[in-house]
Amino acid sequence: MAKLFWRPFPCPDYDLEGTESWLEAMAGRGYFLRKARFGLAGFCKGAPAPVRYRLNATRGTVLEDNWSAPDGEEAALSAAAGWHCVCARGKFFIYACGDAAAPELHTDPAVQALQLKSIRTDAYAAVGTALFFAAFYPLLWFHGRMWRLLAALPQYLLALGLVSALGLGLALCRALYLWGLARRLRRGQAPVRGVRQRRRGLWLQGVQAAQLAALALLAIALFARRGVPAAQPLPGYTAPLPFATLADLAGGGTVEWDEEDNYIHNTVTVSRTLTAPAVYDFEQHAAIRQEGRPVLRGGLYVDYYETRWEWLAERVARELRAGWLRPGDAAPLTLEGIDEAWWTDAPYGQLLLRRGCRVMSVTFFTADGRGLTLAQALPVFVERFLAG
Amino acid sequence: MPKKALESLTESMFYVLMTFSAAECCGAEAAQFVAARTGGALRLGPATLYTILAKFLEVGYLAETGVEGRKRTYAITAAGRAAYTAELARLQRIVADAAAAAALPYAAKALPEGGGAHGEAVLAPLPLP
Repeated sequence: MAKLFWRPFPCPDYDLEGTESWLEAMAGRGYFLRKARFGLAGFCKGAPAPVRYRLNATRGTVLEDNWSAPDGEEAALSAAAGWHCVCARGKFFIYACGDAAAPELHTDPAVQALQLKSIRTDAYAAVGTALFFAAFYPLLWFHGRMWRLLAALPQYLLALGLVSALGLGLALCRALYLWGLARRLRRGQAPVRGVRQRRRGLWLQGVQAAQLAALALLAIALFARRGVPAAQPLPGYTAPLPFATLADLAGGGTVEWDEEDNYIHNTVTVSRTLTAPAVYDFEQHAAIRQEGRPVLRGGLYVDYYETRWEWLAERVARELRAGWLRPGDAAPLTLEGIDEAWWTDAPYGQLLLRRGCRVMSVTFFTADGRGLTLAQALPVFVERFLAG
Repeated sequence: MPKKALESLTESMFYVLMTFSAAECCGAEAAQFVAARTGGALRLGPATLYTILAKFLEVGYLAETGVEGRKRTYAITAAGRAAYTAELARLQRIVADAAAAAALPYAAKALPEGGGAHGEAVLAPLPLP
């Protein structure tokens, strides 16, 4: 079998005019198409010759057997007219004809427009799908946590947004091209082949490659958990924290950590991102002992964000409060030096404080329910938050 | 169930229906018939012919009557014949209109109030030199 020279197609599979123009130019340089695989064209080398290439939309689906090769009647009619199907690419069969006297494959542009109808319908449906994944799906999926994700994992959110936006852009380009082509065909204008058509698809291929690369990088990063901070055990964690812990609430003492299981953890996750210089996810279950006896036993969960912009902190605060068990029960507080404060004590104490770009949501409970109340602990939380 | 009928027939489609209204035949014979009938003025490209055959099968203008290897034979249906007859009548009316217009002495031609013979808008005649 003759050696194949592989070249990337310079235009998307639906770009009928670009593909036909490029293949004819390649034949003029002695490269004749033999195969098409994964966006690559396999050529065999020969003496340059004028060969016409035409794309003919397939009528089948991937589940039918007329997907990879034209059916018998189509092949017979084409062969009788001097055309042969070289290979399939996307939803098109690529036909070639070296006989200049042979009739065109398509002699009626309006009929060709009719033939492209299912491909156009697919393209319009693809715009709908891309729109769903670029706009509505994130709204549904990220609803209630988008701003927190933007603060804690901005690189993933931005990469996902980029991939979705590129996908939507590409789907729109495809739909617009096919719509425009069908309109011209219906007006009786035959497809145009030339240098301009060859080059037009190049940037689209570039965008498609960028989208695939971004998607691959995103998948690799997610798989490797790059940029996702790891939780550190609290026992032994000595760095200062910008908020009060159980020991601060008790006014000092020794910490006796509760034994960890599926529900009880003593961890802190600290991260620094492009959009938030400090993000803490803190979870503490412990008893505080003073002079050998326990003075406070309970749990403390803190979500703390120091964002780069105040508007982001405001939105993060709103999301944090919306995530409370009973956000409707939350009551506003007026505290000196605090821009925004909310609290509730049912079924357990929850407190939200925001000052400028810093925001903190606290969930606090004591083990027997009769210990320190949130109202009593409030001054300590506020003092440490302001000092932090 | 056949899909919605075609809104209009192109010249190629009309000739294909004409072929099958004359006789039951296969695609290649239809292409030869059209080329012969038009004196070579209209040659149906294979993709055009194949698309028309597929579309006519889809809308119920043609029915497959036999398969012999890669050759399929088709016959026109009542719906196909009706579509052909309607298009033929439309074209005959156009030709008749054109003939009638040509027969009128241009300068003496009196345009009917508000439009042509079929109620369509007509342009005012240019003044003769």
